Amino acid sequence: MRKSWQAAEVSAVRPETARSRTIRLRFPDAVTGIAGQHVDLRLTAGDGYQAVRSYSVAGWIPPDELEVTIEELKDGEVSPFLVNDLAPGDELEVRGPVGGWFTWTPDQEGPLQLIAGGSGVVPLMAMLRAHSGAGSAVPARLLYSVRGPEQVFYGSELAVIGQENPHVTVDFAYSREAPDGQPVGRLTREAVMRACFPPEDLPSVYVCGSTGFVEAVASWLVDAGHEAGRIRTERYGG
Amino acid sequence: MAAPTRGFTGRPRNPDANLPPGQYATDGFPVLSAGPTPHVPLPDWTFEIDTGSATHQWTWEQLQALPQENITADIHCVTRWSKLGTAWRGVSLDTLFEEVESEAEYAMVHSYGDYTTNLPLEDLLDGKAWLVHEFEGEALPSAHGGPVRLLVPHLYFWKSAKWVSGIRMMDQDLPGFWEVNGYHIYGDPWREERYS
Amino acid sequence: MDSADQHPHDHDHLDGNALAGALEQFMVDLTSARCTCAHCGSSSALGAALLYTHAPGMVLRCPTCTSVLLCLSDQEGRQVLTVDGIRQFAVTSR
Repeated sequence: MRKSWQAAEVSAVRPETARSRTIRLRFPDAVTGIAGQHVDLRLTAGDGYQAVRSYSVAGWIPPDELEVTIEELKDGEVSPFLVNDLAPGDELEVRGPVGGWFTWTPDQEGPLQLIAGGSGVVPLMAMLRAHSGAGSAVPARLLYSVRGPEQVFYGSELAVIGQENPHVTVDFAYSREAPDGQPVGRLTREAVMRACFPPEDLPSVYVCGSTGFVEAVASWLVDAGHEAGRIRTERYGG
Repeated sequence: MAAPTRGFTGRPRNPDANLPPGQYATDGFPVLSAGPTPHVPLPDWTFEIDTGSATHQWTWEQLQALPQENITADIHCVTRWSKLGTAWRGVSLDTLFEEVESEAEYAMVHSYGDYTTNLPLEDLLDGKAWLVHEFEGEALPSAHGGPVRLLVPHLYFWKSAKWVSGIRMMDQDLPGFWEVNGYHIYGDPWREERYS
Repeated sequence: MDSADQHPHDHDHLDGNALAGALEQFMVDLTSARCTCAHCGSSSALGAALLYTHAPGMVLRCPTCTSVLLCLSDQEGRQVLTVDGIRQFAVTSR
């Protein structure tokens, strides 16, 4: 575990959607971590003012790089800068990767159930990538609730994983706008249950999204008989 | 200090104006909270001053029946934002303390929820502190401490306890919630008394 | 030499120094540790407790009774951690 701030270089950026981008950071030394962890980024203004924000790691590129995906928040102080202004070659101070609670490793038993609301997909994508990367045969499902197809992160990669990996199922739930022929509307309890392993399969469940999303989904899961201790949540504030 | 991040400025900061050191002015009104927001129905709301030998209690209706004042003040949060010219309406603590007899020189302010903050009694008197229930002409929203919060604008804003429920008089200046956690026992923004 | 002159309580204690090795087991990511709330006695992973960050410091509350477990503030170079709401930490050795 890395305990202190170190400078990492922005080695690449690429747009994910119109208002989000993935930033690749190169560390001075090798960097390892566990899927679901996050990094803290610290930015310093010319007058010494500092802002610290936490972002989930989306994936690792051995030996010395990792990626985060950042969505621009309306009226945000840091995210508009990271999404619009930060450029390759810039340096950011980074602490981490850290976190030992909202994490998944391929040696964990039982099916893996991932439920994402919007940009909450980022740490869950890290878990799915870890699952594929390890060649895991553990059944995994991702339910990804998103406003519309234009807001989907990692769209082509998810399509490939969903089609080619027999152990992974990817489901989308569109809340505002959907591709032709697919239902649109607020995520419902029934839709969550249809896209989830049943409680008797004893899945490890990870839910990440806004506070409202996480609380609604977690309470539906508990009502449906999932053991609260098997459900781990991460809220994105708001 | 770390090297600046190229191109990063953060929110506009205005270090001049008539602001205490290290503060910047904001037009917004950030919501700060150390715990869940308590929702107290007005019929159940009371405010109590406990001197140790006597308690004085006011209901919402009794508070409304007391003389009301309009207050315009600059407020300064220890997290470095200041908001200038905020408008409030409420009852001066002088009015509430008129009927209170106590030799104690310090006060612990208590809130619904478990928040506390400490002040010398003299900082609550002589037109320096109010129980306010309106902000900018509207009922004070619960996010900002409604139905009733303390307003002590000459000290850092953590002293202006949200969801205030009462004051306990003390012979010595014991620390409240943030004061226990390393924040200054008094908290004068003009002397930049942020930390203990 | 008679150490009872310096330590009048007894003869059978060591210095706190000797804890260094045993305490090193707590130099882990504490968010996966289980903690017991000093107020209600329920236990939960630190990572599953309720964290309030829109405040001068970060306040962690018990998911069962919402009383304060710990408070951590960054006071310009000084990190202040108050943990009197936690009765016990438990970490699993590996």
